[in-house]
Amino acid sequence: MEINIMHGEQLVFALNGRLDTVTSNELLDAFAKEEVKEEMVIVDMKDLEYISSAGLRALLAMKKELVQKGKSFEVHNLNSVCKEVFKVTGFVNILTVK
Amino acid sequence: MKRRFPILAKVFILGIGVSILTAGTAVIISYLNQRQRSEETLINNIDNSLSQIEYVFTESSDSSIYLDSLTNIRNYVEGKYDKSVDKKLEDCASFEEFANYYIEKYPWIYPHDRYGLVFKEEADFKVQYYSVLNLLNYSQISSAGRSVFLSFTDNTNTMVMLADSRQTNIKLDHLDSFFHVPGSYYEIKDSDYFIDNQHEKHYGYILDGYRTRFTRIYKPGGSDTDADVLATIYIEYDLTQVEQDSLEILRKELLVLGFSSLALVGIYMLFSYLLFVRNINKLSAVSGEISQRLNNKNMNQAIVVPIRSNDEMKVLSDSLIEMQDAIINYVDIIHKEAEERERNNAELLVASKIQLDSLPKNIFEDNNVSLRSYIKTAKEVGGDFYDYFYLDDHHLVTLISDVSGKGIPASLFMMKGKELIKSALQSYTSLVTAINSVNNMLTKNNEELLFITSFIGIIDFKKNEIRYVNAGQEKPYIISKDGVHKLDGEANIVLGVEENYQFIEESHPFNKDDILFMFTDGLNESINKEREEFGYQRIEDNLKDIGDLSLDNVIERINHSLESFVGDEDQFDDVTMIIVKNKDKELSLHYDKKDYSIITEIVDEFNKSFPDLSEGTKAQAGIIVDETVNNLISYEKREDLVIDVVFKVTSEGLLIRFVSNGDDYDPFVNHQEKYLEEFHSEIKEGGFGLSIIKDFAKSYSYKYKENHSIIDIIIEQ
Repeated sequence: MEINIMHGEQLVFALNGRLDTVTSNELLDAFAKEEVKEEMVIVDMKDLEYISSAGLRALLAMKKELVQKGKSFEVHNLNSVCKEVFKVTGFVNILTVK
Repeated sequence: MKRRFPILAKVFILGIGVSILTAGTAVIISYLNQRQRSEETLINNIDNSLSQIEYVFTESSDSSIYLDSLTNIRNYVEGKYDKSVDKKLEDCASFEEFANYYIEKYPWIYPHDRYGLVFKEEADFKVQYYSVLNLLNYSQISSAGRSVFLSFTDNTNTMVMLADSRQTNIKLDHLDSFFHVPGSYYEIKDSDYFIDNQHEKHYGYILDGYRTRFTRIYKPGGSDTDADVLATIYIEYDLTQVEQDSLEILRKELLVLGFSSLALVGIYMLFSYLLFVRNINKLSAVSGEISQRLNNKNMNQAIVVPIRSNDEMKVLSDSLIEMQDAIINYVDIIHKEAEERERNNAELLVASKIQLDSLPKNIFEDNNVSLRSYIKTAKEVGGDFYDYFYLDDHHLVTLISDVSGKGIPASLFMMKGKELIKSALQSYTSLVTAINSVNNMLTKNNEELLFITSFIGIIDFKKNEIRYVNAGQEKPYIISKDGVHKLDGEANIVLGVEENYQFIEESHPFNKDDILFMFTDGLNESINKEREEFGYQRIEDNLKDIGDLSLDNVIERINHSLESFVGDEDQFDDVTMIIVKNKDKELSLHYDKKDYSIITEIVDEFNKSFPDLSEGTKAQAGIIVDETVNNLISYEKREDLVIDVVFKVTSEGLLIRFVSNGDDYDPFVNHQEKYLEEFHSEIKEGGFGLSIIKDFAKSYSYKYKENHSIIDIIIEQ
């Protein structure tokens, strides 16, 4: 999985590939390394093939940490499979999806 | 074990035996000689005394006086003795009783204080009697006889006592013989006579247990006949004394001979030791050393045999030296042979590896086919082989063969056969033409008369059929929707024995999902302890209901069944199996590492194999693989976890099957409860995954079969 990180008004993690058991730690590692100055963090799933429950867990962990710091977290550009995953697990209610 | 009986002990016993025999003989002879000599001396003395006494009575100047006295004495006793006085000495308790009996019966005798029992007569007669007694007494002393006595024999052969030398100076209670009583008599019996073989002329009587010698005194002017005998003079002698003297000498001789015999035996033993025992001990020490060195595999140098003698021991020692040299030579040869054998074994191992390497790998997968092979050789270099290869993109050749014989020759013939079949099939368009050609080539120059049994099949994946030639090989099984059945048909003959034989080719449908199982006779002819064959029925049983099993599992199942059937028995033939499945667009993946990284590999392989599927289906499949494999790896404790994943496009949709050797745990049970709990605690995983799977799946199932958990998930295509 490729992760492109863009700083600006928001901190964007653009994912390419699959966010699953094997790769979710890559996202968490990348997130841990970044100093979050921005008020908002966005995970862009435009080029993501799919996300599995392990990926959801990684997103949840990111959100928990940001909320503690008083920052907001959003997930953007879900494809239909990812949307289905978010829906069936109830993550649409937990995370801000756009 | 027999008890040891050393040579020296035998020599000792032998020496003692010989000594006893020789010394004993010598002593007995010596004793007999001694005895005879003593007896002769005694008898000579007695005979001399008899001659002297005879001289006194017949030829001396006083002979007339003595003869006159003797005549008077005889006449007196002859006139007085009474046969009615017949009490015998043996009837009396003592001689005294006997004597008193006579004193009572014969009033003419009385006990004299010096001359025993004598006559009560006038002085002249007494003087005559005493002079005769003195003469007898003197004769007894000079002869060394026991007694000298005088008697006459009457016409009834009765000996009547006249006088006895022992009467002088003997008290009545000391008398011990009837002879001491004048007038007592004794009836001579035939058994009293004895003839001395050594001295024929001198015979006598055994009287009172003693021998006697005698001489006769004849009446004056009478003839030398029995009738004119006046009296007989007897000298009684005792041979026991002679015997006692001889025995004394014998005792001394025995002592001397015993000591000298012992010394002789000692010398024998010493020589036996020096000549035999010492050398034998040395030789046995050497041969013991040889044995020890042989045991220690250290026999490369001769041991010195220290025998200096020049007799048969030397011969024995020389042959031991020769034997040693022969052993050293032999050991050397054995060493070389062992090295040679080791080299041969190493070469055989290499040959075996080359042979096995020449066989294609035992797993083959592509879009058309799943293939697994198994071979277990009985010897290092076996006679079984198999092969598979594509002729073009939809014709797959698969063959299984068994070469007659074992070892290197069979192996070489097999290589030849394998290459010939492959090149023939690649050259000819017709299967049967190719096989006819292979047969002809194998038959030529086949001096060893080796042959190959072979089943050669060509699977056509477009027509979904198999064309095959069976050259004397076991008939394979086809496993299809209709069940398990043998691929019957013409058996033909084996390859390599008959030139220009026309093989018959046959065909059989081989549809998608059908399985072909080929094997060599090593499988069905494997025997157990009871000499029963594994047989076709057991193979068939193992091939039934394999719908859910991977091909690896089928091979495993048959092997397991074979092993438990055969037990500890040796494998005597190669066992080879090939199982081929006509895949219905199927991907089978096999992993035996417990690592999350296999998830990426599985999804990549799947995407590569099914490029035509929609992105959505592929994404769903990827998520299902991730969730399920993650689950299997996370919750399974065993480290040797094996996971098989099968993707297959069916009429229902895309089937994803996960087969693992993990615990029997149904992930679809109690999901709801778990899901809710995990949802509320927000962070736990597993529950989410399963809810995703359930959402995507058109259908899902779980079962546990033959130690494998099987999860089937079908998603919309």
